[in-house]
Amino acid sequence: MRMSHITMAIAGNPNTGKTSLFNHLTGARQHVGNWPGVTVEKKEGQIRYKDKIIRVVDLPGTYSLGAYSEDEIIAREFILNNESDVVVNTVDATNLSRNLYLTVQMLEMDANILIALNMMDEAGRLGIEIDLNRLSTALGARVVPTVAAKGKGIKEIIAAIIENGIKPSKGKFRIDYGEDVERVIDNIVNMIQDDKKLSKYPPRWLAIKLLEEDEKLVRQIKATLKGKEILSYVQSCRQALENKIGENLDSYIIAKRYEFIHDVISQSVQRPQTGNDLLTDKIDRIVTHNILGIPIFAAIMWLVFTFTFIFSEPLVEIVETGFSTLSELLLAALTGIGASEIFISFVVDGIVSGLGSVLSIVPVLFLLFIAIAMLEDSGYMARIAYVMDKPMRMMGLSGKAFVPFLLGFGCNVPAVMATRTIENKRDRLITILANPFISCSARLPVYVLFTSVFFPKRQALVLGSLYLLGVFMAIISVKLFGKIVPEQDDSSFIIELPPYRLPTLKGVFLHMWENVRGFLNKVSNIILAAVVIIWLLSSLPFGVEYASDESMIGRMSSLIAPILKPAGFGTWQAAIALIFGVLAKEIVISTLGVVYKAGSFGLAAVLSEHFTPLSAYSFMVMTLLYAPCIATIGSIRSETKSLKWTAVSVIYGLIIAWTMSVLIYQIGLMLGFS
Amino acid sequence: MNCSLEPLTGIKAGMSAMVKEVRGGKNVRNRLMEMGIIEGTTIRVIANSGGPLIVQVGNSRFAMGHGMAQKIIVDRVYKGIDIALGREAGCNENESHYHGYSR
Repeated sequence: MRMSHITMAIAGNPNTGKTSLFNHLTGARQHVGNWPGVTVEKKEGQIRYKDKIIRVVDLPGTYSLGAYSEDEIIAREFILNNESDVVVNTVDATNLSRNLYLTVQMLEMDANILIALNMMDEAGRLGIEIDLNRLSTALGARVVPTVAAKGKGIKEIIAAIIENGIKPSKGKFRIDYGEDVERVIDNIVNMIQDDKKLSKYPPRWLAIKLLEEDEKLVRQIKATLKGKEILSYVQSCRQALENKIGENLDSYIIAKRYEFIHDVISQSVQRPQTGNDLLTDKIDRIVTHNILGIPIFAAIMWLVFTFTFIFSEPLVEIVETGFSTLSELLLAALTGIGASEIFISFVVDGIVSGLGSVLSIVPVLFLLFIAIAMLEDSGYMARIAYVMDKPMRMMGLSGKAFVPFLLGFGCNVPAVMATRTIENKRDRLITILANPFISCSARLPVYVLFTSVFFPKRQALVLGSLYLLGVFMAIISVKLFGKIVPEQDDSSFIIELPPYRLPTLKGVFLHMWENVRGFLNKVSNIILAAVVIIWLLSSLPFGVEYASDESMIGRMSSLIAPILKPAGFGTWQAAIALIFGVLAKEIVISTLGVVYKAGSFGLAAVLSEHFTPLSAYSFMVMTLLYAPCIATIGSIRSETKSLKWTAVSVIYGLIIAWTMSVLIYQIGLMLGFS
Repeated sequence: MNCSLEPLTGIKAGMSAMVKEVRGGKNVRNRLMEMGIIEGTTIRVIANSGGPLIVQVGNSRFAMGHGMAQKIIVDRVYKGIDIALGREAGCNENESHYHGYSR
């Protein structure tokens, strides 16, 4: 055989075992682009089989290949550009009709399809008998039965591709759309056939897509030589056809595809009545109950956070001890070899302690991502959107936006990343922008220290008020950005609810690791840059005491201090603590310890000399609301893919924080507090 | 023959109905149809909160917003047995009382 390199794409509906198939095919040889799986970036892997290498590309899971979502466009373009030699289409055998809709569309695109008929075990349990030969003949595509979750049928797929090779089947597949429509299709095909610009599109497919009014293709046609002529012909035909058939042509075409699919199914499938999944039914009756739904959800979330905080505390300590041991060892080693003082300071004060502070959130990330993976893999995550839809509607968002807000209480980084499940781009952006006001766990130590010094008797009340203020500002921001960000035509949602499944250990850890690795890959540059910049500012001009009032950062803080004066804490020490706090908010405390030369034990005593209860409260409000930490900023940047919105988020946070703390301090003074 | 066409939002939890028409703008309409919600499909309503709904179509279930469910016009008269016996709908488009629902 000639070929030694084959490219295989995997396409299919969501929840059909695409990921399982991909993992089983490629094993450990995976390469994830910048961001893992769920959205637009592609996952790739390799298979070595005898002397052949197969490159495997995982396309986004879609129900269709229209032009609505980025996912669909990406999958479609990949197939149209002939970037793959063969497309393995995962099809849920228990849900043939809907799954084959995607298959049929790919066949209409003349894609070379191999069907992985998945979940055959489940189909067997439901009594669905599928005649594989007949299905294969009716569709004109090879069919391999699989149970991807258990790795069954994987070898057969590889064998089918390698041994039988790639047999392009151009132009064989066709659905009969009825005499009238067929005549129009033929005419359009004649009109577009000789345009070289359009040669990458199969002509018949393009003609049908134009009749369906595919936005993207219409735009492309418009730019061609005879574009206007073609489009006006299509337009007039559509009108005439719609008059004749009495419904929208796009609906008619979709219905015809389903008619074809139902023919195929009736030829090849023996199925008794569709069985209901009794277990899923039972669980859903309870967890999505009108009254019980929300309390159950609250209880599950309470578990998630308890789990995260109980286990993260010792882990965070380990990370912190690790970094401080590392810096001691490095200090000794570098001094031993006689490295210059500046270099030692750069390594020890800058890189190690800077990274150490930022990375101390990683254990929290680990645990939260484990919890998220369990919620997702069990199927419960999708239900939350349903349970929380009504309350979220009042804020102008759909139920899907709730989870990110909730996760924000743990850490804003996974919260921002979790917005990926929100399809509506507007809702997603708004959710990202409002999220940093939700008070994450890193801010808690700051509150705890200050409240213990200044409000020893009302600690809980003050703490609660800060959390509430954060939620309140998030709601205000949702409303505000809701007015600014342009409306999309429809914010109504439809999501598939997968059947409940017991999450597997391996699955949960793979899922979690993808997310943590994704975070580290994506934001490590930003974090490293921030760490270096802060070190430079603290050390320049060389010779000054690190981060003293003589250093650049000290001077900057002295410049900023007057701006903070109306908020009650116009000192360079407060300013520098806030600047360092951008690395991670809990650093505010350690920085104060350094600049007041108090160490971590004496800090409580020193604080009362520099703050009053009122200015302490105002300072906590500032810490709550001002710019998100660097890891969150990095995530916002990578999730919005927009510098503009990242800047908006930071600047908006600064303005809101300053305004609120000034308001609180000044009103407090007027009311006679001090 | 009794006939009552209404949006899916009117169907109570536990009841089934047959899809008669999918309305709304092209995007919503196509989206629903691509997920298998086409004329003639039976939909089982699993939960109906007055806001969003949970429905079962074939072997998959969906949560859908109230707005989307309003675009799905169904006939609640149909029961499994009617479909099995191939009884025809007796609906006259002109006198059906779902006019006025959102489009």
